[in-house]
Amino acid sequence: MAKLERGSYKGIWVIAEIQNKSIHSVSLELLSKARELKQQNCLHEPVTAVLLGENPDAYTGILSEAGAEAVIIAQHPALEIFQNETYALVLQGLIEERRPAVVLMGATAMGSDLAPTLGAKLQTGVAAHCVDLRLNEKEDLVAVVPAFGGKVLGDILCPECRPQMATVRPGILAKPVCYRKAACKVEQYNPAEALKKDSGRVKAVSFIPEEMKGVSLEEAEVVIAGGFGAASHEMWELVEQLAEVTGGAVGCTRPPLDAGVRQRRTDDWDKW
Amino acid sequence: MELKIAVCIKSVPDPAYYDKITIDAKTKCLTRKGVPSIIGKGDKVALEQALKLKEKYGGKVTVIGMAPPEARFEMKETLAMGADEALLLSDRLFAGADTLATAYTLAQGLKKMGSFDLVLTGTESADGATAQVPAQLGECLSMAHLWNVKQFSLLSDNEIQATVGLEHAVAEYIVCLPAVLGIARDAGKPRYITASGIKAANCKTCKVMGNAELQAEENRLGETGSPTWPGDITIPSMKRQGRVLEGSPDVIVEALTAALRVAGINIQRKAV
Ligand SMILES: Cc1cc2nc3c(=O)[nH]c(=O)nc-3n(C[C@H](O)[C@H](O)[C@H](O)COP(=O)(O)OP(=O)(O)OC[C@H]3O[C@@H](n4cnc5c(N)ncnc54)[C@H](O)[C@@H]3O)c2cc1C
Repeated sequence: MAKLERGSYKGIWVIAEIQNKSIHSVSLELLSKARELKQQNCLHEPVTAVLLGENPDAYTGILSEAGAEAVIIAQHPALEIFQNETYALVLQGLIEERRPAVVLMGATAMGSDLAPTLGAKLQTGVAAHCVDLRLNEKEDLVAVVPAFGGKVLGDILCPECRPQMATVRPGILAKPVCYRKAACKVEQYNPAEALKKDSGRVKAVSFIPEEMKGVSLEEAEVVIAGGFGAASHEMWELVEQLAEVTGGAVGCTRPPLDAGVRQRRTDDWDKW
Repeated sequence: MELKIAVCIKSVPDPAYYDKITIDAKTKCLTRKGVPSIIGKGDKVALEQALKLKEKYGGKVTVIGMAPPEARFEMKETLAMGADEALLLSDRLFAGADTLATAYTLAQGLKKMGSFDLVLTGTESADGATAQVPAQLGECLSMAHLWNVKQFSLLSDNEIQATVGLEHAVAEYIVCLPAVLGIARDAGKPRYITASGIKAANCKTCKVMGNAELQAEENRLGETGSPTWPGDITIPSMKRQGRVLEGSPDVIVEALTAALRVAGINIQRKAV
């Protein structure tokens, strides 16, 4: 484990995610949270969003409104489809060079894979699926994670390694604040050097968006949830019907998932 | 073609007993007394995939776990399901590992067992559920890795094609072997254990190995090797207001729709 001069690592970064040609809501939530942490703790370093992809320039406005004071853009055709290895290599290069103290990501399908990969490459700690973040009196990140099906909440710290990394689920933090007309420094970073290290063991061949059925859980005003009592096909049918007539989204705890009556939708990572 | 496949199996407290888990107010430690251990469903799904591959192509399935010695029982269960051999890494030095130290220890264990074409894991464990071990194991073994693999097939001796579930999308990847795959929970149904399976398991070995034999770097193991440190644990108040409606179905439906309307939820009658 790399034990480092903590003092040389400064500032909070958010690795932003583009999904369906827009910035994922969780990236914006994280930026506003990062701004709040910066203000509360009188940090100096600008809150920085990092964006990888093929044409990421169009998104700097929305990132800045949500709280980014600086945006680093890495543009390359190889980054068009999310590919864990290439994304991790580019971010590793950037982080080793710029040394942020905190690196945050959404606990989306991308973040859940990318954060631990990057954590292992950097030999640092990653707090998974956090529900809250704060800084303690030493300016160390305290990440709050749920355990045993949410029965307990535990604090996770990473006092001796840098950067301190965490993933946060979408829709858990407060909705993003709007910082209007804020100054934002945009910088292009050339990922070509980092991409040379790609072993080419994993090749993305296609990306097929799924048609969204019904309302997504984050955006739903009404959620019809089934638990242990609904872990049969007959009962589950009723849950689905009720969701349909109320215009709501469907949620569940683990038993219906385990019983296989509720197919895990790709968008409901761990929302039980 | 003969495939050498390893499957990572974690012994976890049975979720049905989560009510019995308490926190010692003084030591802030979790007490799991009287809570039986099981293999999470997700890990059994991964084992099922391995067994199917072996049936199709021939080869050998090795199961590996890091847990206290009592987990021999769960390892035996995997042998009864059809695995050929099991390795249980068990040592006080391994205790208190975060995901990075866990991945390192499992990687060292796998290296001791030989070389593998495929290493399968669940997407996330039933208790810690960080979902970070698969990617970090891939990094520790310097193998290609994918997470949340919904299905995959062999293209040749050294290549697979895999479908990965992302949010609102699926992506296809071609991956060079050897590789670590985090298998999605809904990728298949684990088989039941048969009487002949149990009989066969009696002739198979479950090796228990401590660090004297494993010879891993001590400063990368357990609590010492973990960049993340646990802090305080709290029990959040999740009191929900329950209300039981009684009477004939008609009366219940009346009362339910009235209550929903009061809550601002409108039910539209569906044209039949
Ligand atoms: C409440 C709580 C919160 C935690 N939060 C964090 C955190 O934020 N960051 C962090 O680094 N650690 C955290 N940990 C520690 C982490 O749970 C342990 O490191 C654990 O050993 C492995 O992680 P996991 O159970 O989350 O595995 P996951 O990554 O969820 O497991 C995925 C798959 O990896 C395999 N696997 C995992 N563990 C083993 C094992 N011991 N033996 C065999 N196969 C295995 C299984 O196939 C499993 O399905 C937390 C633990 C608890 C109890």
